[in-house]
Amino acid sequence: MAPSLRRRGPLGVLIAVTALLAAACNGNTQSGDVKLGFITALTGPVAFAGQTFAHGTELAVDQLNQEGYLGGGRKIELVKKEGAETPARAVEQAKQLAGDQSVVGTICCILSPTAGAVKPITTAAKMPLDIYGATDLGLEKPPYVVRTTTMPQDANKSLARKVAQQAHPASVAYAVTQDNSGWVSQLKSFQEGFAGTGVRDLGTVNTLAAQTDFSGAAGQLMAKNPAAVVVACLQQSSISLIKALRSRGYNGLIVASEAIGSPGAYKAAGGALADIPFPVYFFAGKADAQGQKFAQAYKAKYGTDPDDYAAQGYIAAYTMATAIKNAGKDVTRASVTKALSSLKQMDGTIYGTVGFQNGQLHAPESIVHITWTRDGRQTEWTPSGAGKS
Amino acid sequence: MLLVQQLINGLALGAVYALFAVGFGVVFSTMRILNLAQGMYATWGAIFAYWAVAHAGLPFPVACLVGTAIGAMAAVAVDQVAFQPLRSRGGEQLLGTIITSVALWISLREAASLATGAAPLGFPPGTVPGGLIRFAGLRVLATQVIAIVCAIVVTAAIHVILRHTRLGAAIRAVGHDRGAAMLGGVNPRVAILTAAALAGAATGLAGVFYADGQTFTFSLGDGLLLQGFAAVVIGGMGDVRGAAFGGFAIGVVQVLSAQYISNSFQDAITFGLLLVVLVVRPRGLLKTVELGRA
Amino acid sequence: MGQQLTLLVSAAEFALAGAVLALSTYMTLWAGLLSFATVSFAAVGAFTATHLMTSAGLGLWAALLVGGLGGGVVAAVAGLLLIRLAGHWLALATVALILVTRVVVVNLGGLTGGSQGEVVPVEVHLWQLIVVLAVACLVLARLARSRFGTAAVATREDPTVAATMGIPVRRVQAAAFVISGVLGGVGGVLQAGLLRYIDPDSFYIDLAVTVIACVVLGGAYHWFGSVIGAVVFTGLPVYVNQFIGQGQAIIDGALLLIIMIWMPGGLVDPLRWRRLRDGRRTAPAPETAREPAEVRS
Repeated sequence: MAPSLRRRGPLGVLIAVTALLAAACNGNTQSGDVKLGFITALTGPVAFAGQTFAHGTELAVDQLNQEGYLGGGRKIELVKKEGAETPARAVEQAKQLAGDQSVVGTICCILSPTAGAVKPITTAAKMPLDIYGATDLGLEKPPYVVRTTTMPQDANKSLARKVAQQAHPASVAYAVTQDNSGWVSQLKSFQEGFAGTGVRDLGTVNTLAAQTDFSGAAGQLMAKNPAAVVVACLQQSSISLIKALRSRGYNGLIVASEAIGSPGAYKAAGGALADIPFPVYFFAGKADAQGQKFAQAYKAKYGTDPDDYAAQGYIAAYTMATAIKNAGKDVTRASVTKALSSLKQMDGTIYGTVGFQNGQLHAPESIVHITWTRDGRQTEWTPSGAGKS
Repeated sequence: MLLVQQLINGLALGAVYALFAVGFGVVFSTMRILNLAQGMYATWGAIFAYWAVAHAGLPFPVACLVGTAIGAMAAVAVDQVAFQPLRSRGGEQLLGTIITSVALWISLREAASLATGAAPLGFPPGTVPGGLIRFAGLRVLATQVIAIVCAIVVTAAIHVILRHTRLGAAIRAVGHDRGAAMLGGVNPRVAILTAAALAGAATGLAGVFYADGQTFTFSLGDGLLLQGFAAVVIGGMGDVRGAAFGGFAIGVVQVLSAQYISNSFQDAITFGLLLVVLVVRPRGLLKTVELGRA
Repeated sequence: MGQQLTLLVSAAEFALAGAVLALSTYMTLWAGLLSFATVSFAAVGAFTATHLMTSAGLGLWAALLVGGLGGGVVAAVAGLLLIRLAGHWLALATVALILVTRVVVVNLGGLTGGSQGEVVPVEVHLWQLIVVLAVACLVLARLARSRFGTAAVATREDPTVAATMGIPVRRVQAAAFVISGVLGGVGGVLQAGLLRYIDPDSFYIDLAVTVIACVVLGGAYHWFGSVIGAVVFTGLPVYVNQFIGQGQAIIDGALLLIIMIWMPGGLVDPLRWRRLRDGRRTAPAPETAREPAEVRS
């Protein structure tokens, strides 16, 4: 290597990088646009779900801007920051959004630890935060923290009731991602649903978030010989465990959470997911006009049907847009906070009418129990198909 | 009966670790490189095997070969890009190669994330041998048997190559003292590339077997790296048989500790064992003569 | 440009905290020990201090003391067990130590928040970081000119020769390990104060890799190299993050590779400076001349 290159190599790269930065700094906003922070999770441990959430959010902003939802020719500008759904990185991004006073609110967080970490930062900056995906109980804290996550706990409970009443399994065993409090809480909601229905509880098998081999867990579950297995695990764990159970010849009923509802889940697992009931809040097949419109636009733009995550991304942006609209002429953090925390009900959303209680969105009417068919369509679940696979 | 069932599950999981550990051990003992990019051979092996099956419609055995070949090619490429420039400078390279292997690790990982869209992938149903062997109340998957058999065969083959062929002697000689090996008529480049390719092939195959029964993502190699690392230290890396033993041992310990102790202590037990072995028997549980060290 | 300023300050803060951690790793390397254990010391310091900040209302300065003490104690114990391992075996053992530390953190949920992690109640400000790093640099500069510094360099060059010269090699290495532990613990508290939220993954392999990269690429032959390395490899990415989304790691990796191949001695390389000064017109010294100084097994 030539001596001159030896010295210039890395320096040259540094200079190039710096130049790139300088060029990138010069982005400016048009006046009349309202800045909304959006901490994305396009990379990192839940990148796949994160991309779906982001699709929903971006679609909502596009649609609302086109409709002129805010009025007065104003538009929403999403200020996207990649948080990778790791608490440290997301906190860093939240700090930067907090430092920019023209950002009037922020949408964030799929995982509960991330939400727990971001919350104090935005609250200290008096910036309203809308949590769009984290499911741990008690994360919402109005006026500054509102949550539009459609809580899976309520949906799981109602699914468990339905399974107990209609499929009558004699016994049930559970699997849970034990080192994630969101999933532990989802497990509890399933257990509550089955409690008092006469279905015998055969105990719980723990798995870990980082676990990739489920042969042992499948063996543990099958040794209990349950009539039904409830899988309350992270998406990838759920799919792997279900595959491990089915490939070992487990023919009983498997009940899962919304985690298996995304098109990607079916692509990775295929027919193994057939006839497994799971609850969702958004199902295109049963949605009303507004929901249909969303589903069509989504399919046109991204090529798949929207799943629950996409719908949650959508409703998060919709909620913030509504708050900004209600904030009146002077759109500041204070006015948006006030408008957001006094939001009691929204009509005509993709879920139909939704209510807010103490900063938490509720849409109990829109819960649907669905399942995958063998050929990868989603349809409403009925017990007749269960246990036959 | 549950014990036997879980023992088999542990061995099947251990087979994957064993394959990985064998690859890791070959590189570490012959080149003295702590190769943190090794997990990526497994990731890319698995991704290409998946593509071969899902998009090109190739049968599973061919996909295994594809994964193996990709692993070997990745290993050779990484060696040439990251390690050869430092090697040609001579001297001790442990510190430098750690950094360059990290460079390749994070780059290849990001590339894998982009290539798969960070989506969970799974071999489509029916493409992986789906046989279920039942006897005496046990349920063993065909893929589990394949993994165990392959791990044993590959370990034996690499052991024979290293110990009983001229090429193997050349590899060991280079690991011991490159200068002396060259004086003795050994082409160090051929020897090193062969060692890298063997390591990569075993690792690529480990990736395919790790992925075939489950769903996997681009981060497949990271978990494997840590477990394989533990396996290789526990078993001892002077001899591929030791590394393979370590792999099987870790697999069994993990599954049995999850069943009988607690899942949350699974890692504590594995890595605690690792630390104890390092302190008490730094050369590994199996007493072996380390390659390349006087 | 208010936002750009916030960004720059943030980048500087992470660079300063990273520098303290890098100095911790430099300490062991100084005495010829390749150790990744800095991250374990940082974890011990950070979780101990955070627990006391939350439960006993400790302030930052007290927390730094506690963190340094915690890191030092763990380093003393780990040093007793691990120092006798030869070069690359010590590297392996300290990687194992990081893995074990994480498991301990996950399973001590009552004290550490377990896998959920916990919020750090005290914030660290730029000036506090500057003060801490300045003190650390002063200490290292003093050490470099002390008998310890000479002994450490001799140990790194060749432990056997150093021993025959009457240098207590083991004791020098043990001392380096403990100082590394103290610095690591302090760095961990600073890092926690910046992150404002720590979980088991805050102190894991990624951080270990970043820290060792800072030291090696900054220049492993002078303590100032670690500081420069931290500025380039922990500060800069915080700033660059804003503009590059996906694919950033590929650029990071390429940068690491390029520097390692073309500037093997790192950015701060006293040996090369000396060589440039001495032999500008003479034939370049063979590269291998410096190699004995690298960590050996």
